[in-house]
Amino acid sequence: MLKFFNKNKINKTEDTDEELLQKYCDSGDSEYFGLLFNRYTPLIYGVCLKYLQNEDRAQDAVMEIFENLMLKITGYEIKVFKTWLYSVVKNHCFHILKENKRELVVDFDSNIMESEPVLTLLSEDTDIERENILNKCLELLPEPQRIAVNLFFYEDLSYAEIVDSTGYHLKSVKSYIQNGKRNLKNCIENRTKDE
Amino acid sequence: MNLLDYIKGNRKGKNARKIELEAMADPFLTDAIEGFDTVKGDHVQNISQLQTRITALSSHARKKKQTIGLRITAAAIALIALLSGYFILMNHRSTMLSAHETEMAYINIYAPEEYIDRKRAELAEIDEIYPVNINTLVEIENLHEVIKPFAPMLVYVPENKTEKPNDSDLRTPVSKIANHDLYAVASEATNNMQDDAEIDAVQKDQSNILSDANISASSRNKNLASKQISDNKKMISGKVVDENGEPIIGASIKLKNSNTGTMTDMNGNYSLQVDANSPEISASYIGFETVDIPNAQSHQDIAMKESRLALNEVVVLGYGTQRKSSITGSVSSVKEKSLSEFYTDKSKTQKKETTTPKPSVSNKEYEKYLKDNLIKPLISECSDKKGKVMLEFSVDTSGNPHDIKVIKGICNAFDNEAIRLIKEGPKWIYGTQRVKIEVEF
Repeated sequence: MLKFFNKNKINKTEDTDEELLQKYCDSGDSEYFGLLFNRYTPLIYGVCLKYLQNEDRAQDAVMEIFENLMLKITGYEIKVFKTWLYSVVKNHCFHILKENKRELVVDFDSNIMESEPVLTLLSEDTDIERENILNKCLELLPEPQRIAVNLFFYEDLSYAEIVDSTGYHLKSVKSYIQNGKRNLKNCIENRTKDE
Repeated sequence: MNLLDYIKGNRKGKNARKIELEAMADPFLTDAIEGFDTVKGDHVQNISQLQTRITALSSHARKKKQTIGLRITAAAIALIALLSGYFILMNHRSTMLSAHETEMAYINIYAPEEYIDRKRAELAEIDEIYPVNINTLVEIENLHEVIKPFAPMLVYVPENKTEKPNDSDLRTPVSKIANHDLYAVASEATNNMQDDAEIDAVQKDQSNILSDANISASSRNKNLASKQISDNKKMISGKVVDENGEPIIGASIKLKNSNTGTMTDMNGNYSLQVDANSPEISASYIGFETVDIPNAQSHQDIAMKESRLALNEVVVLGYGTQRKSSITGSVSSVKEKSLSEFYTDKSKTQKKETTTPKPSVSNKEYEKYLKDNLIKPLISECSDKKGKVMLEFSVDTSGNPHDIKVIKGICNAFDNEAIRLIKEGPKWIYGTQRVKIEVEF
């Protein structure tokens, strides 16, 4: 009986997601699952807000996802918890939207993730050659894009600060940076091919 | 950095930028931020509430298991306590049983303690004031209110006159005033005793109850008996024993062609008055085979043999059965002999099960048989017909299909050909269900 009360203090932050999940699957102790889930509650809530556009519905959705997963998660083979969880949340939201027969908001912009190489290029100086190409391509960028990219990646300003600095709208800042990155990537690839 | 801060609106500074940078590679984060930015509300508070609920739910589930464990333990302890209590109480034996075992002819009848004490005190007072001797005995006027009279239950006829018990053994006040003809016993106790007595009588098919009052009655009977002996009757007495020589108590000795009978006593002894000319008696006892004695001697001992059948006497009602001991009404028992026929026919009362017949060859082989042996009739009415004929038939115990019916036919000739195939085909393994089969043309 005492073991009910003298359970080892569960370490909240040291385990990886996958370790914590394994502990839950092994012991069946729902406290592990609660801890794991709560790491992502803000993100889950945010995504639900985005798709359901309603606080109450988003909150209900979060709790539904929690209860469903607590029961079913032990049956899955999950490699990376975060990405798996993300698709689960999205699917749940789509399911709700379909049931209510509302329009599905399809985003063409925001989910285009840039590939890693460009980001690393922009954050580190790898070698002179590549740096030169990069500089060249930067010059070729349209001005707003160049400015935005420069402020974000070289001046380390946040979107809001860039807005303050340039006067561009927030959405514009985001799209300048995104397009700028894409253009840079293409430009660099072309030039790297040539040489 | 705290995403929450960013959500709150802290969009400037290195930490904010860090999150934005992270979001570029993390679609999950991007979507979440978009959600927070497009919908109004106190997100940080909502998030906090959600997290609290989740924490509560995940530890509640664990606690549930805990309380369930505790509840089960509590229930188990309660059950054990109940059972022990019951068994402890069961050690209390009825006076009937203890009387039976100590072979006392008398059974103590109990009245409530306080009542007895009260009455004793009252009588003691009376005794002081009016010392009792026969001459000064005063009838208690409201005695009938206090103690209800009852008719003596005469079932037991003792062979020997037994001793009267001490006054102290019988706790009823009646013993002190019992010199006159009031067959009375303490009312409350009596009722219970009577009920118990009836049940017991049924249980053992006898009654060993004897009250103070009955002795005088029975002694009267005896006088009666001796008087009647002179009218061409004789007394038969003896002992009834079992195969081991042990006396059988409560065996029923009946006079043939008469309603009279008696029971054997504690020692297995009985005595019965019979007609001197036809002294036919029979001895019966549940669990034993009845013994008929056409010409009983004056001293007739009887040995009885145990019967094969179980001793649990069963009363068969219309719709069910009830153990005799649980009935408080009157009961007549079914003679063992008529039951014996019922028991031997057990084999016939098997439950009917439905089984599916199967071909004696494999299904594949049967289908092959159908294909190979099909002779397609070339009759004009069927010339361009094709399809499947569906038949239904039963299989008899020799494995032959019979009662073949066409469920779905094509044309007469095809149907008949299908029937022929089934009839002449391999045998089937018997089953109770009807078989459905298709023959393709």
